[in-house]
Amino acid sequence: MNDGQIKAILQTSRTIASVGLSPNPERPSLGVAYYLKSQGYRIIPVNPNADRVLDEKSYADLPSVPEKVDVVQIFRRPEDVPPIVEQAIQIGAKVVWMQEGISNEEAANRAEAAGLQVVMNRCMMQEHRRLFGR
Amino acid sequence: MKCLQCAHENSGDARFCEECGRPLEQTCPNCSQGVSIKAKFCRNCGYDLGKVSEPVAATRLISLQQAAPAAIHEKILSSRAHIEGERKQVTVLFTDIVGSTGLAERLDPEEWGEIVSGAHQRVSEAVYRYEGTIAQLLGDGVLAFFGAPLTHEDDAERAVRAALDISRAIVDYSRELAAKKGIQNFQMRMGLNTGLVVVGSIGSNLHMEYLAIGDAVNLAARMEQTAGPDTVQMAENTYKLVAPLFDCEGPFALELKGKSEQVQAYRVLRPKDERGSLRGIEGLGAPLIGREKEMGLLREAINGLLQGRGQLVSVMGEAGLGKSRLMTELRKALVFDGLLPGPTDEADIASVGNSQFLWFEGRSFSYESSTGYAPFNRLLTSLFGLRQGETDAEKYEKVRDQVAQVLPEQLLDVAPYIAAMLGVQLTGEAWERVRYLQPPQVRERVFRAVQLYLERVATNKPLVLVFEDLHWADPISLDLVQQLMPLTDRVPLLLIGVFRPARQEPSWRVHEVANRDYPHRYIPLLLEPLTESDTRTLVANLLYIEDLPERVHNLILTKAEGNPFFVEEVIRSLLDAHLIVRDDSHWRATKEIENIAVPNTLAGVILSRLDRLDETSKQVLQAASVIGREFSLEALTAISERGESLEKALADLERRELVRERGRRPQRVYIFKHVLTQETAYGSLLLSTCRELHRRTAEFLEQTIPDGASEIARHFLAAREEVRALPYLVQAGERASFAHSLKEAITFFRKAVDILESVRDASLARRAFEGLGGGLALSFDVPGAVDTFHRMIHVAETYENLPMKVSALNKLARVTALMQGRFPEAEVHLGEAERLALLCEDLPGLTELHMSYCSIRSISGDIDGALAHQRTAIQIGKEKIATELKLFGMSHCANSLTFMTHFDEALQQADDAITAAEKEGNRLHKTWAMVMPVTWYHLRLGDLETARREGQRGIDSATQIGAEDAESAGDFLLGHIARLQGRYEEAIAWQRRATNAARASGFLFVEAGALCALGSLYWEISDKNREQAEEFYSQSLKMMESPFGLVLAAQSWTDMGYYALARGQVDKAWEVFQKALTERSTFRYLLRPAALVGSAMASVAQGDLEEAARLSKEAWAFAEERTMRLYYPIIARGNAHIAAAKGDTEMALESYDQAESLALDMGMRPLVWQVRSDTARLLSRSGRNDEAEVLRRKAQEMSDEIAALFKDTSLRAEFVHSAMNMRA
Repeated sequence: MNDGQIKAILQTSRTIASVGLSPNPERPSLGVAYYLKSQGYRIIPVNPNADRVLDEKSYADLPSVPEKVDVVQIFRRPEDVPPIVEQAIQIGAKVVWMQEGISNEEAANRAEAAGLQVVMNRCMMQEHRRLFGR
Repeated sequence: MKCLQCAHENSGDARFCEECGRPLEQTCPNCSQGVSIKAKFCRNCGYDLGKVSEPVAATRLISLQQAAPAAIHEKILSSRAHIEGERKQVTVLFTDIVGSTGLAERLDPEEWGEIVSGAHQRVSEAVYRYEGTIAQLLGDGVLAFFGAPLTHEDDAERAVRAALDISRAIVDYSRELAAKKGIQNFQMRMGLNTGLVVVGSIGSNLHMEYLAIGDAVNLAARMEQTAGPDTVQMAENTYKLVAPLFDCEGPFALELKGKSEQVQAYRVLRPKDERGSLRGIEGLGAPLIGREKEMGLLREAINGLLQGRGQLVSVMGEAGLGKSRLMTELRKALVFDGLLPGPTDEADIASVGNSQFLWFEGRSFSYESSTGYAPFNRLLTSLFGLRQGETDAEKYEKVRDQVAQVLPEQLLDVAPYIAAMLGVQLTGEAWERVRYLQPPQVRERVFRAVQLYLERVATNKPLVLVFEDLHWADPISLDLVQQLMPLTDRVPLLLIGVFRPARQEPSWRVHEVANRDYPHRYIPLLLEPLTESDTRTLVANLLYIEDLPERVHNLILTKAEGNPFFVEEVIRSLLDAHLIVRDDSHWRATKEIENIAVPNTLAGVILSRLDRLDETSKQVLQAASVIGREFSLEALTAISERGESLEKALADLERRELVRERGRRPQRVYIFKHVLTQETAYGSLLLSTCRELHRRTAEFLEQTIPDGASEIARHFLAAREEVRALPYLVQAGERASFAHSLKEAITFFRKAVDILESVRDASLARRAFEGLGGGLALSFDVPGAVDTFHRMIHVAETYENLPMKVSALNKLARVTALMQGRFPEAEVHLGEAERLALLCEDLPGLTELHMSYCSIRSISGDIDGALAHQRTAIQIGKEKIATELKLFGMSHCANSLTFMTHFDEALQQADDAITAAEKEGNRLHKTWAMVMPVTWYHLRLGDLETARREGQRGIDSATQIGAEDAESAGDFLLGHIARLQGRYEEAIAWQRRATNAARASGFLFVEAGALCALGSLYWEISDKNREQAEEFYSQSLKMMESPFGLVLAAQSWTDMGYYALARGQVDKAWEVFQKALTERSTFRYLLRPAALVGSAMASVAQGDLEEAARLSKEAWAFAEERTMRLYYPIIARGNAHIAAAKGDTEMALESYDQAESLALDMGMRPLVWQVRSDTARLLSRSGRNDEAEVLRRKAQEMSDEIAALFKDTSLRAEFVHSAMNMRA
């Protein structure tokens, strides 16, 4: 995935479902989501163990999210990725974004076969800053 | 096992007491065998443990600790008081040798001791590399801490990296042992854990031993014991902190003896290629709050720009109100919308073809307010994509190529000046364009070049120029910003100035001018403090703390007064002070927060944050603050003397949002997020350290940017290294004068002169005094300049430096003569200068001397005297090969010969001068030789067309190199020629040009001459323009009163005499013609025939025909002797008048005929017309009406021809009308 494609994803997406978004401020996920929210994205937490994160209602899984999702952002271990990708395909998301340190080739192939774009092992906040400025 | 100290019964594998932390094992100092603390003799070698164990172990520890970095050593010693019983979060590292017992048994105890010592060496090296501490040696094992006594943001990471380094080092060591000693499988295990422990020191002054108490330490030991050979195993607490940074395996569940639950362990494999985000709060940073309106207006301005509308915007606000933030967010939004290239794209002008418009920034810094063009320098450097380390030739090539792309036809009017402004050393043609310029001309040309270029760039693609922190900009840059404002009326240019609204600051003018002159294009944005509700939103955004006490909330609100930066800093200070802490999954305010005192000032808040930084980060930040608000990694590396720890410290400072990275190409540059942070860090430095850092910065700059004189000088001055600052002050002053930043130049030179009170350096003293005096003279502080040169004379005397004294006297003479008009006084100085210069054979001094003499003599009309000096100059130049002097002499000699009407000799001299100047590559003297002598040579022959052509060549050459003085003289001459040809409109244009060029170069006498010529022209065009003509004459006369206003006066007086004659003021006419003939005007010989003819006409009017005839004859004799054919027709016409007055009509008609044919031949249309009219009148008076009618018609033909030359219809109408009246 080149810079142009990532730019396009960041520019055209509005709603991000953050799977595994933790309310724990020392987890990277919260800082990342907070930043993205400050940049105008709609953040929907998907985490069965939290009620609200960043003042947003948290959902148990992707199919429970009652709105259209552009990007499914994954903060989970690589081995947990496949079922999330299945759900992403199911709800018609356009992009699967695995955060830094997370990759799963098999799941990525599956998503791409279903017509989704896949970003792996990259931090969405850092990419945003890198491409658009701090 | 029972602890000897507290009698606690510990579990079997414990190596430290679980109650008091005392070690439960000891090491045999002889063979390093681990033995029970109770053992009296070593079970391995039988050594008497009771006697000497402590001293031997201590010796080893001391020797290892001595290898610790000085900073740690210092910290250990200085902060011992703090360490007593301190509760700290540390990462504990255990290392041990695998199967040491078995190995030790097989080896001689002494040999084993050596091997262990080698291993310890490698361990301690790695530990110290990451600024950890060796706490204890435990037999073959080592216990190290990261986080005490030195705390770092990233101690866990450091510990893991140290462990990985150890692992690598031991593999090498093992190979070495295998090869040298045949010892196989020497391996090490390492374990890590992070947790809260109580740390304290025991031991004597000689060494420090740390005790860490708590479960955390035992768990670390457990990690080590269960690790595989040559691996690093860590507990979950450490893993949580470093997981994004390292590739790990795990978790593995471990049972712990004496513990009911399982623990998770991870094996560290390697660092990740790309490091992840460490802190959850990294995203901490408030979105833009309460600035929606301003953002909207800026976006509107951008939209306008895209539709082709130029605009001016001021973003004004006090420090910390978010001016820069607003610009950052604007830019980010534009990048996001795809309108601008992002940080990953090349940002120079060549490679932004795809963006909708261009965006360039030029920031100002507080310490650069005396550096001319500083923000423009920055802006254009990025615009042209210039890089540090490029040669001047490479830089100029870039500038030239990019200018050529948009302004091919004006390449040389733009590129050399912009490059010169950027400090690029030029060569060849580009250098010719700049080298002869006086400071005011440099300024004017740089301004024009920047305007032309930016206008064209904006024409091709909408352009945004952002000037941040304009309140620190130098005066010249502020002027230039204002000069760019008119462009917004013509091209899509958006100028954004960002500054503090301080009315007393020069930057406020930008707002005033924009507001007054461009109200239709101006958007002033005044940032107000945030409202209370906005501030609350901001706090809430920065920090999700549900239970932040209302008191604290209010405290933040009151103290911050709606200043967002203050709000952020207060919150960050609370985080740093652990008054807000994480509690499982929430931020929580601790009880202590109830008692916090928030400092009253923003600086206080920042200071409290700096105090909480770890030592390394703090020192790095302080060092950076010395370099400036913006600093490169390279500079910081050079002055901070920190290797690897520097990067980490910077990363830490970045995470804490104290600094941010500004760019990576061509080198990494950081900027303090806020200037107050820089100022506070700077203020917190010890004076001695501060000076030392300034010194190192200066030395670094000397190495890397040797032409950054003003910066180097600033740092050396701050370092109190005045002597070393001196050469750079002088250099900076010279640069500033060149850029015509006179005020700044004077400041630099004054400082240099002050320093020279206590330092002897003749060459620098000379340059400093010359610069100071010159700067003062150029800024018209004549008394200041005179005083400076007197001081210079005094200093030269104490130095016994004759050339310096000569230089001072020369300059004093010039100021005295040319600015004060006190010629005799100047002559005294020159006389003394000459005496001394000859005494010490000071050729440059002599050059200057004769130049000064020559100027003074020429101006005061002593042409012979001037010529004598020129000949001396040529002579000295030839003998001693002083080129400049020789060329000066040659070109000016040609001029003087012209003034003396030795035209042939003058042409010869001019040709020689041109050849010599071409050989030396000196365009200035070539130009001077071309303008006057060559042009006059042809003019005097009456070959007006050739004269015109030659004159034009001289002017072109003068214009190219900016020799405005030579240009003005040439303009004046061409104006004169055009007038003789009846090209009045063209003549007016030339004289106006002459006036401007003369004014710009201070050539007052040319201005006086040109003004007079303008008066005569308007009067010649139409008799009705009398008032206008007289106004010009009176201006000209006023200027002629100055001591050096008389150079061209002979011409002006002659003109005025003819005017007076025409008005019937015969006596007045006679009087001015006499002046023209007798006063010491430099042009008096050149104009002599015309003035004589005028006098003759006055005599005719007075009825003294004999005197008239005598004068006319004299005119003829003078002109003929010098072949001044130019004057033949007017002499003939004069003779005709005289003959007519005598009643000798035939004789008169013959002379008229002669005058007509000569004038016709030379293309002097007005004279032809006048002679024909005169003839017609005479014929008509004699009753020969038919003949008269023919001539009247012929006269009208000529006046029609002249009229046809006008392009301006109203001027033509005036002329035609006036000509008709004359016929009537």
